[in-house]
Amino acid sequence: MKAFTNFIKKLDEHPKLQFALQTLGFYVLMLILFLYFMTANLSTAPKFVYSQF
Amino acid sequence: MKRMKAFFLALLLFAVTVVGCHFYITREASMDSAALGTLPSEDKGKLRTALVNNIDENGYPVFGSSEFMHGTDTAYHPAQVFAGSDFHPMLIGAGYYQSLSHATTLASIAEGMTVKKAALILSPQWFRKTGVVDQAYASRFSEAHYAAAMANENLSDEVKQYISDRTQTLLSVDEKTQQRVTMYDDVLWKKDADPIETLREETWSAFLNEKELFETMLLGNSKKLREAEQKEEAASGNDGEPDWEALLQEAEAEGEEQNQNPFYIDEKAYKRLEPHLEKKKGINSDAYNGYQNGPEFDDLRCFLQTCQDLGIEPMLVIIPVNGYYYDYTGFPKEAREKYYEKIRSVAEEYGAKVADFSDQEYTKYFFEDRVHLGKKGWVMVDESFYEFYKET
Repeated sequence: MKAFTNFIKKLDEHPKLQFALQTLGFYVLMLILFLYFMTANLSTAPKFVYSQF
Repeated sequence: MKRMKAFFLALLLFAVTVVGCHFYITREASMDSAALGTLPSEDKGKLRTALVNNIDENGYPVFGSSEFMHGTDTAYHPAQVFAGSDFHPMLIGAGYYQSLSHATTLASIAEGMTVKKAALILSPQWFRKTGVVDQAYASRFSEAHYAAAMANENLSDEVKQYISDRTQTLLSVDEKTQQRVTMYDDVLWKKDADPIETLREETWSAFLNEKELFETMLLGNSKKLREAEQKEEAASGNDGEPDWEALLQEAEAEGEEQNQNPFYIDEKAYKRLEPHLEKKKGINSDAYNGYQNGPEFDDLRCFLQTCQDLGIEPMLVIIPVNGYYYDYTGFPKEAREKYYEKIRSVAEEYGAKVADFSDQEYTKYFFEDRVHLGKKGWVMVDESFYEFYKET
């Protein structure tokens, strides 16, 4: 935890790196959303369980 | 402010990535795979792009249901029999696909078909009193096919109205999709939508199209398809007509060896059934009207009317019930006969060809289990597909 807070503090000293990480964060988030929508099941019907006759 | 800048830069990068992905996905989704046609797959039937790109001038769609998933490890399933052959059927269906969804799919893909023929394998169990179950229909519903069917100018208003009404009723379990079905009707068929609804439809369809390309790409790169392609390549020399007599003899010999039980079905299936047999005895003895009055008959008429509207020659494949098992459950023979007769008369109404296997109820090794095609069943049905293809 301490290492993490130290890392965040250090980031304040490197504005360019902070900017790059923020950009990367947003980008990854958008990609995750994109992949989610590309593979999501859009049906809101209750799950149908296939059973043999 | 800095955070906003980071967001917009990320958005720009994301937009570039999406455009790049679009071109990559479009290229990958335009796969041309002879193995895709006979690949048993639940997802394939929903993917319009995959179907349209892969029905070639040497095949036609074969619509069916769960039988496609059975007998896949035998030498008699279409995936094996037609591997490397000059006939490339496109099997469309999985459990709980029935006439209505097939009518919609056919109307969606018909324009891309070179061979104007289609076969429909009819399972007797489709014709129960309930017809297709709403949740089952919803789980197999493809918006891409529905939208394309409604946009098909050659499909009559009567058929569109029937498909729309039935779909609205069956999608009562999926209200969001039901609302979009209304949107497709208004924009693509009735053409009475306001500009906002039209814009909504265009935006949604663009998203759906991208999504479908993505899913088609995943199917194209799947391990299942790769393995099927390897089989197809290994059999690439067998481009003549399969030796039906030899296949039948082989199936008979395998059955003699493996299917020695009271119903002449696969041993694995019999073992699964055996513990429940006692309670199945005579259970259907009052089914005098069994399989004769369900809404599926109207759905079947809708399929045949779709064929007529689109100039497609249909062939109905009448699959019998397993006579040994149905006798055990007491399902009356007269009811079975009436069912077969009713299908024949519906086919006659529309001038449809019939591949009638109703006389095979007691053919040993015809079934894999109580209802699905097995060794001999597949050989005979495969032959009917091939003959229908070769007919001019």
